[in-house]
Amino acid sequence: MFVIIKTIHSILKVLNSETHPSQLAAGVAFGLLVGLTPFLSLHNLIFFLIVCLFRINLSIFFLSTAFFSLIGWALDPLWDKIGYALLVNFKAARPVWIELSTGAIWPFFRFNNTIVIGSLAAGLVLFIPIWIETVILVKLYRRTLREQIRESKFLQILKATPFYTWYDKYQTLRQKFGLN
Amino acid sequence: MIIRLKVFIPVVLVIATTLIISFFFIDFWVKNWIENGISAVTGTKTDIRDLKLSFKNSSLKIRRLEIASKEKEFENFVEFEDVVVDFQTLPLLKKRFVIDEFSIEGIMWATPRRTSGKLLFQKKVDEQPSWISDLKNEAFESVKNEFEKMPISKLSEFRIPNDPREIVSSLDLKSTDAYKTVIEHAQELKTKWPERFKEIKNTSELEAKFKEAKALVENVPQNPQEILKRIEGIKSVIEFFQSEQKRVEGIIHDVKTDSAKIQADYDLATQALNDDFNRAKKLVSLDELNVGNISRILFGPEWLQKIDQVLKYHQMLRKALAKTEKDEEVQVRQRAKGRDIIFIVPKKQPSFVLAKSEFSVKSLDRGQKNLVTQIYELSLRDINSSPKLYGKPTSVDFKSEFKNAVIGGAEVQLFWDYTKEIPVDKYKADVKKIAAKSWPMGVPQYFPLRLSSGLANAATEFHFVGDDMKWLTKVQFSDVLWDFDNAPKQSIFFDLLRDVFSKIKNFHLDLELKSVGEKLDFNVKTDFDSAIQSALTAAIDKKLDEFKARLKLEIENRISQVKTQAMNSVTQYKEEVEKRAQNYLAQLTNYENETMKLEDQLKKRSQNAVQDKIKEGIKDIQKGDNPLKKMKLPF
Repeated sequence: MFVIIKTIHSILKVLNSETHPSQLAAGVAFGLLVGLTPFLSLHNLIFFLIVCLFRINLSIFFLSTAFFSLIGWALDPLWDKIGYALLVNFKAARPVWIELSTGAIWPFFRFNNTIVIGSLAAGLVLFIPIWIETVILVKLYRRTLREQIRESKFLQILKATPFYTWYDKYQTLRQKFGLN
Repeated sequence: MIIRLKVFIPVVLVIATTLIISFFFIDFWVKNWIENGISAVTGTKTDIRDLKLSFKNSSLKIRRLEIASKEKEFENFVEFEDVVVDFQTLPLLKKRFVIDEFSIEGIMWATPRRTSGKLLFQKKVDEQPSWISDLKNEAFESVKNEFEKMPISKLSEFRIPNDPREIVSSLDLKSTDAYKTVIEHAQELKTKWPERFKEIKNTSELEAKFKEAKALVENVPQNPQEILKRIEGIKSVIEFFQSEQKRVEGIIHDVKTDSAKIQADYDLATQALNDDFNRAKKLVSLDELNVGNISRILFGPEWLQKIDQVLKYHQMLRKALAKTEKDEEVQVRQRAKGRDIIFIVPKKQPSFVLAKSEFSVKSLDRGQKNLVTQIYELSLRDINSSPKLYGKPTSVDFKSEFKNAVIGGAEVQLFWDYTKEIPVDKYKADVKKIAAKSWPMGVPQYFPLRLSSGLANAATEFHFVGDDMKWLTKVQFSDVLWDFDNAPKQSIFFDLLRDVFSKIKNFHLDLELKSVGEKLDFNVKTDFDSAIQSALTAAIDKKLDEFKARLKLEIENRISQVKTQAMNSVTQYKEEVEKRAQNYLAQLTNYENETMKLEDQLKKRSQNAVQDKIKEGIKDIQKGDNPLKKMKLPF
């Protein structure tokens, strides 16, 4: 419950902040890339460094990674099929695959694995649409839903629960010790 | 500003530090990886005392590699003193492990362990079928099942009984019933025939009729007409006898038919007696045990188990190296997650290569360097993880010499060519001076026969081309002694075997497994097969013949009473019924003949009477009176 409240609180806090929508959208999109593909892959280290280097919202990135990891795990058979089609049936791209599996360093990325390449390809295809869509949705939220949610019964009830009271005390303590 | 160095720099620093620290722990990780890898294959604990990986010198040095024994917890199966691997560094960037030189120094067997050799967590390995093709697998299973069905338990349990009554009692004698049937039929006929005999006349009646005929011949008158009347009387008597004769002949025909039936019943009973005897003989014979396949029973099952193990390893090797998808440009390898696609192109190289390595290893007696007990010479060529990519067949030559071991020496040549569509495996081994007592043989509980001493030289050749295979092993045993210690004590079969085998000191054994189409043919031959068979058969037959004679006597005694009764019934029937009918017929014929004689007598008399009358008539004519006018001539 504590985690749920913290998660909802974080999402709302970020959404209600002045963070630029594209930073939030980049967090969701990179979370999609890392989440859909097998977690312990070398390319994910590079994505993580990119996320750290640029002003991409880290909270949203981690939340998005956790969310898409579940989806990615459930869709493994689909990634396997897509990956097999790309690696074996899509002969036009074969020189690229051969280079990726024979060149120096590249083999460590395991792009010859059907699930790695299948999920990565799906992630890359969805990357831009998800980014744009998230930007639009954040803007829409801030313009129309922010005030409604702030005064919604759900949020009022949530604030009335003892869990929220504990969470509020926890946040106050964090602020007191300068951890926020 | 879009760049966030405040976060990026610490993250990069953390990652870099982690990598640097990891580099110092790489020896530890590689050590664990090798230990776990070997343990996964052997199923026992593997320990490496020290491992040093140097990228600068491109070498991996393993000091004291211990592989624990499966059977003994505190003993190593084998211990390698030093293992040195020289590899190429640059291919590592391409995720390839290319070995330039590989050598082992010092092998020690059965050394003590300080810690337990048991694995705490052991991965359960699924039982794998021992063949690549399902059909071949079925064929192999059927060969194995053949041994399970073999009557080896009968061999050890086989006894020649002392008391024939036991055998005869266990049999339901069919001949007894058959003889009883003969008696019953004879009894039925005996009650039937008195009724039939009532149909024929009494002998007194015959006699009376004959007397009647006789009376007609006495005091014969001179008048021809009177004589003629008497002749008519005799004729009616003859007719009576003839009709009676016909009836008796009909009865005799029926008697003979019944007699034939009862004789047939008796013959059937005799046949049943022979059948009973044959059944009794089968119960005490070795015919169904097929002693001709003694060497198949003796050497087959254990060898088949070894074959099973070898084929399982061979199947694993094939699965790892020769499996390809329909598309020949790629190889597909199943992984825990997804599949790895390997592209078959000239540019691509296998991820593991050991191009050539030749070295010799010495085995030391309990680690003492001056006591070399074993020498191994190993030559490895073109070992690799993906033969189709590598394009060259792989070969391993191995030569060894042993002191005070179960074998004196061995030369092994392994060759496998998985570079083409049809994989080829050729394995050849010559093993000298094998301690014969270690040769796998016998069947526990049923046929626990072993060799207690002697030597064997074995040569084996194993060819696999695609799914077709042939595996021939030739073994020459010399100066062997047979061990019957675990054989059943009171078994005539093993007593006889003991006698026969004690004379066999040297023999040759051929074990052959080959695929014929979709089937497998497993042959086991020794040069003592025919000798054993003839010796066993002769010895057993001699004992059996004695017993069979007693058995025959017992059966005959059992059925003698009913048999005699049946025989008497048949004889009695023949004597009483047949004889009675025949006697009656003879008597009848006699009376008929006698009556016919009487008829002839009367006829002559009537002729004479007529002649006399004619003479008298002529005289009267001469006197003037013609008597012929008054006379009626009978003719």
